[in-house]
Amino acid sequence: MERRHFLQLLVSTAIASHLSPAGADESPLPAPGESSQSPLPWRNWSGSQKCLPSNRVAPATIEELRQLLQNPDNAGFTIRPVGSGHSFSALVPTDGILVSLARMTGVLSHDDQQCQARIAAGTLLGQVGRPLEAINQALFNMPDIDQQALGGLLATATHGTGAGLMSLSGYVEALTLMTAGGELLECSRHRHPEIFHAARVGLGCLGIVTDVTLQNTRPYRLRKTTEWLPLEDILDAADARADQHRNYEFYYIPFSGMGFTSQHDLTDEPVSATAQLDQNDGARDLQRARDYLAWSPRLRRLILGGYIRTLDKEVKVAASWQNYTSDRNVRFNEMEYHLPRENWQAAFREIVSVVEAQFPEVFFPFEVRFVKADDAWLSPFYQRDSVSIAVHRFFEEDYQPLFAALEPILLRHGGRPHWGKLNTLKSGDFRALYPRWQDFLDVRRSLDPGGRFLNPYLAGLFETAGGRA
Amino acid sequence: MKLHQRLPGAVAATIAIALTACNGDHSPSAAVQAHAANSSPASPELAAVYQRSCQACHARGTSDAPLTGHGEAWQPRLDKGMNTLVDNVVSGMGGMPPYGLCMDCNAEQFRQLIRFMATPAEAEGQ
Repeated sequence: MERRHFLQLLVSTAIASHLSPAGADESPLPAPGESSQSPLPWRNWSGSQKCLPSNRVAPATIEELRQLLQNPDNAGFTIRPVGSGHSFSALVPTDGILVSLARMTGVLSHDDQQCQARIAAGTLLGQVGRPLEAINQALFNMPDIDQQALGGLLATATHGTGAGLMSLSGYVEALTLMTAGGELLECSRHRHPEIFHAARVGLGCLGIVTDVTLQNTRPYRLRKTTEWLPLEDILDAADARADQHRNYEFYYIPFSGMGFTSQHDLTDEPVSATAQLDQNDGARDLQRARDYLAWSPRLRRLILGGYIRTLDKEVKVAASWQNYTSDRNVRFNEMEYHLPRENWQAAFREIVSVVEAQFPEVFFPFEVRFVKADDAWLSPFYQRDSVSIAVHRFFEEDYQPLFAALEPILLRHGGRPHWGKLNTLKSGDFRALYPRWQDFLDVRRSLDPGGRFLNPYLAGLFETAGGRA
Repeated sequence: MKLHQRLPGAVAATIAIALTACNGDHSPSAAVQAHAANSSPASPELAAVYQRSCQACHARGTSDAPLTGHGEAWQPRLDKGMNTLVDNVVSGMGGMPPYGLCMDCNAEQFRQLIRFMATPAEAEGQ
């Protein structure tokens, strides 16, 4: 019998003759709208954001992008760059023009001596690893999915885990920005440094970043070890293990008392892999356990905890770019805050306590990652080593009550929200959280005084009168 | 949510059986896998979109994507109707991002891509 079938058997045995599923009243997806020749709606991956853009374009060249921006017919429209739609926050929606750089991809050039590569911003992260390996380079770190477009993930300070590793924006050495007027600016620490510091995490509101030059490292192999442990053991050792291993993170399975740690270490071992638990199957099993056992936290903890204790340690040895990411087929909405490292344990314990006392419907694991400080002005990791705490709700379920209960905890412990994930902060909140907030606003205003790249969400953040929908 | 509703034993037993039921093996044959790995639409324009947006998952079956040419996997989807499939592409589905990563495709292009991917490989079932 497969492991996950064992969990199903445990759950079904517990409910046989007692219960119906708590979540049986499934709410269907909202109708996605037009599918004929009329304008098609845009939604993000989770469905939390939507809009009906008047036009969607994907220029294939810099010149086509310039023509788009300089075309007088487009003058009255808001322009928003869009990647793969993996941001949960309202960065993209517009009824103006969505611009995708999906036709502008690939490694454009590289400097072997400096171990740097210039990569087109439309390149998906999953398309970066192999060509970099071919030129004897590799990214320092990667997040846990690789579907994002490079431009989008850098604009939001997307990150992986590793106490000694920055978010990907921290490795940007140069970038090319096309301004609202179609001017192409090459930016680095030495050329247009103010724009460079702002645009490394630019929210797509300074212009359109067409390519970035990343500081890379030589190709390396990682040994990834995944291990299931009691939560208290995880918490006791987490800070030490985060410092000990190149990459370290953990997930807590709510209502189980158990979680799993994942650590990566450099290795020369041959490529290999033990049996891997499918995380998408795991999420569906946790949902099923919630459906049938939410009425009894004790029974749920007994069954989930008992099942998890049967799971074996997993080890995978592979090239770095093949050993960070996994498929995410079960959709969800997410809130993630980045806390000063000294505060995360207290915040995390409070979150677990609140969720397990008030939210029996939650089944998605909580994720905790470690990120090194960087110096991009709007990076949530600006000048501070951080620990990221992420909470999720299944995409068909209302995330707002849970996130509303947890966000004050994360804020009270000094958290800054992930730019691509759900939060309720306003302009004044961000101003208080970011020492260079006004500097960023000044750069933005100088580059785009008419607010061409601002949708209502961004206009609200920057307290501008603009922000055409 | 009905947290404490009790069910008749027969219904509960049915749920228990359903929970432990396994899916049948509908894995694509080696021939279908080879077809998926090597095929592309005849139209150069459509082929460019396919290679840019669809191939990474539908040629390898990653992210639970049905393989190109795996008729057995596509038929239940086709049964939902083409409009539903196009809507699923537009909204994203499972691991597939919105618009299936083709941000400038129109509905007709999505239909053509779906028809191409859903057409059974000649060698399927052999």
